[in-house]
Amino acid sequence: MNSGKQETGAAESHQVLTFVLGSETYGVDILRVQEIRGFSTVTKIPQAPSHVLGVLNLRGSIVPIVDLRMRLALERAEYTAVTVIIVLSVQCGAARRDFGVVVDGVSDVVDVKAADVRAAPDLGCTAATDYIRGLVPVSERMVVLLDIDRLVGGDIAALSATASGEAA
Amino acid sequence: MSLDLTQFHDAFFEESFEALESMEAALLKLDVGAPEPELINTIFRVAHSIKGGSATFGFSEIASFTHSLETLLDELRGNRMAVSVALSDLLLKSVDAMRSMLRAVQAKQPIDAQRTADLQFDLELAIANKNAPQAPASTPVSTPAAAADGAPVWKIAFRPHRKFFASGNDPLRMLRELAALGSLSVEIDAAALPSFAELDPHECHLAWRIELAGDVGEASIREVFDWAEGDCDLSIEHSGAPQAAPATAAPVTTPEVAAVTTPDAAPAAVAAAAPRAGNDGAASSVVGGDSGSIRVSVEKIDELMNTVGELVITQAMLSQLGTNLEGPSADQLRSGLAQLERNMRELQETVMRVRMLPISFVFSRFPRMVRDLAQRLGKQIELKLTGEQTELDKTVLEKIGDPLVHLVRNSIDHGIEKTEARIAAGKAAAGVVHLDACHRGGNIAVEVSDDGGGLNRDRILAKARERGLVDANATLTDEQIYDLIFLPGFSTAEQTTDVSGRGVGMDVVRRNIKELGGKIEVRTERGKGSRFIITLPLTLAIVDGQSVAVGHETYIVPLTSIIESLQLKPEQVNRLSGHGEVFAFRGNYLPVVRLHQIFGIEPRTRDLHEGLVVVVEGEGSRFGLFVDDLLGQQQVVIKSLETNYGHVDGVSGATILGDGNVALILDLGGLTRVTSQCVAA
Amino acid sequence: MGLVALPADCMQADVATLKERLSDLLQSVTPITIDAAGVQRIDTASMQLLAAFIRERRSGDRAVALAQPSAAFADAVRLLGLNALMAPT
Repeated sequence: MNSGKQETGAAESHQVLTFVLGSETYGVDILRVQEIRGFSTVTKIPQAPSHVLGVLNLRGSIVPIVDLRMRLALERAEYTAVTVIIVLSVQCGAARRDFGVVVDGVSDVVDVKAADVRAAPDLGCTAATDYIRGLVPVSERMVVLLDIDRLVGGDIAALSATASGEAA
Repeated sequence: MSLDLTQFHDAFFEESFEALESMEAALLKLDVGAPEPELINTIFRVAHSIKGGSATFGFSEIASFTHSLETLLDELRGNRMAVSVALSDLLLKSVDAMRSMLRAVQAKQPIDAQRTADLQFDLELAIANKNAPQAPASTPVSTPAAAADGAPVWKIAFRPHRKFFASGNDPLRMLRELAALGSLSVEIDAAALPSFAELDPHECHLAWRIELAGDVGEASIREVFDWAEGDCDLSIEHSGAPQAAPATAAPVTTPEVAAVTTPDAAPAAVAAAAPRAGNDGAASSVVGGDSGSIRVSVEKIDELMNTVGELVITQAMLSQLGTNLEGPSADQLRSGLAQLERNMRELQETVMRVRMLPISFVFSRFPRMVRDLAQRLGKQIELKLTGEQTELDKTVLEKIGDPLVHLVRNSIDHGIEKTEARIAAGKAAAGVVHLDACHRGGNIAVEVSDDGGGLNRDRILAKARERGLVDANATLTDEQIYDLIFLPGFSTAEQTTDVSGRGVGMDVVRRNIKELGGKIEVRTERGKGSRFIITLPLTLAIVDGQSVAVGHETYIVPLTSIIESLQLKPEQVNRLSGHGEVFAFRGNYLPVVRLHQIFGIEPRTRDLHEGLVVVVEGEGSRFGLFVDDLLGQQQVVIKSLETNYGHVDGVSGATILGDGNVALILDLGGLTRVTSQCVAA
Repeated sequence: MGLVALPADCMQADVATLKERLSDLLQSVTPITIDAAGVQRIDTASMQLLAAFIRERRSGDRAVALAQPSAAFADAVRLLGLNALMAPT
């Protein structure tokens, strides 16, 4: 993977790490990627929603791991030897938190020009797609650009509220 | 080329705050009757150095104020001025003012100019009046002044008529003459003074209530007002036999103290008693910096602690790998690893101690607070401080202050009775509030006790019933009743004073202490007093844990919470409606908590007698934790679950085991809460 | 910053003049400092006037301060019990 120069602000292009889930390709802002590692056993957290698999030790920090397929309501899949965890830095309210997302495998880092990004089609249920930043064609495939802050961040913030709420 | 001095600002602020603390401590130690020259010197040096520093950095308001302060202190130092309780109060107020000013400048906020100017004027007045027979009366006279020499006290009410000035009379002259007869305490009545615009400056709208203590006859007093006869209302009363001042701490014959009113005398007792009591091995560390120490930033220490934490984990991992190794070098490796483990423990303990500071840093704010509070409430309080050298982790230290403040305020406000009540009950006039700290069995014990009236068991129970916190029919042990005071919204104070008793206190206190991993208990005896006992762990970051297995998951139970582990026979378990499964343990029936149920895990076995029950204590209640197996005991480094995830009931944190996996650390208090939901459902 | 330097003689004879001077400053928004360093003689009438002025400034939350009391001024404040009124702390 090549790491390119950093762009500041809303630049004309930015770099995106693409990964595969089933037959779909997704992308996340490379600047948010902390680490990529192989899948390993995860410690379960009581009362967590089903797409939160548990936590892992990431270089001394306790990081929650989310199954992205479950979160995106895709078909479940078996974890194989090439299943990968992408560790992302996510904005949760005022704080930055680390999360790991389980994906089938990573692809390339691509340069995405802002001009090429098209808006996601309005399917009528905005809540379900507000984590999609846009769609961009890359080498004949369509990459779904994810806004991880909305996808994982808001989720987890509500999660800790639920976790205490459920038991209360 | 001007030098950029801003880089030195931080050091100046830090040193100034420290210097102010030593000034405050010295002031509180100061015996007004026999002031130690060394203490006065200390106070002078503080003012001098802050004046110099603030002038250098261009903080002119601070420099100006401190200059006046320094001038006054120089008069004291040179024995050209006498110390008095009023002066000591003024100096303490100056400490407060300087703190505020420094903070304001540090935060680049405006200084409270009015307050500073007023206080500076008071200082200048004191200096100008240094030769006067009495200190400026800053508090209204309300009770008879106690003359040290037992001289009679006259109460004079003097109200000139409007046209008083026209006859060439000047009240000032009369007051001056009275002052020559004895010790004067003057209270002005400006109620009739009209607004500035309406005021005819040739008319007199002021009146005075004067107390004169002196060996004078009424005739001499009347003589002073000879020329004013008919132009004023005058009443002269003898105010009964003078009482000897209860404060023998100020056995001076200077008229200053004689003019001091009784509420003032009490603080003199506090000021004298408190430092005397607290002097045992006390805060000599507060005065200035000792040689042989370095300032280190907290970030560096935290980094150090983190690295040591990582080392602990790595060492555990290596040890684990080493256990199963075979081969020629295996034994050598294992003995090397054992040595490593010993070194690690030592390193850990040393680094932990770096973060530890004596509790005197927290205790030191109490003499001042107690003195002010006692004054405000009109009670006599003696503060005892013991165990100030007991060391705690810096973070614990920072967070233990507020709970202690609340407990002490409570003791003074609600615990200690008013002086008359105490004397009537045969107690000493001054109530004792005792702060103590010591190491006790791997923990820190901090105690706040008083010899006041103790908690009122019946009133607490009644209030709790009233608020629906307790069933009307429930029978509770005394212990359980006293525990009720920690419930939110609970306060039995008849009148909530603005000091405490608003009912938000005790539950917050308990919560804060819990967050530190500690607990608080209360022991009380009606009529005799109360003791609040706080137990805290020595450090927040590392805990001794017992690993337990439930299904494929490993959990850590804090070792200090474990009472016993046992295997139950089927006949030992009973079912109790509303309580689930219970078993007998040391004369009580304890509930069984099935961890696998709460956490939703598939256990190895569901039969109680095939697994193990670990009897634990969480937040005062005991229960049996049902697990599959006991694994090892080890020290674990506590990692936060909340940093990246959030709070989970029943889990206090996580740790990384030797094999690199994450194990959750159980929060037993939290589990009791979760359990009660489970049972109810 | 309004500065009022009190004269050496602050007696009843001068009190009307003093009132005029102070009237001008009563409503001023700038902080007022009354410099009492030069006072050698002062009586109740003048102190009363000053007290009324200071009280009114304070009640309107306008800054007013006394500074550098001469011995005579300090003496007057002390004897008349005006400390709390003029510099509440």
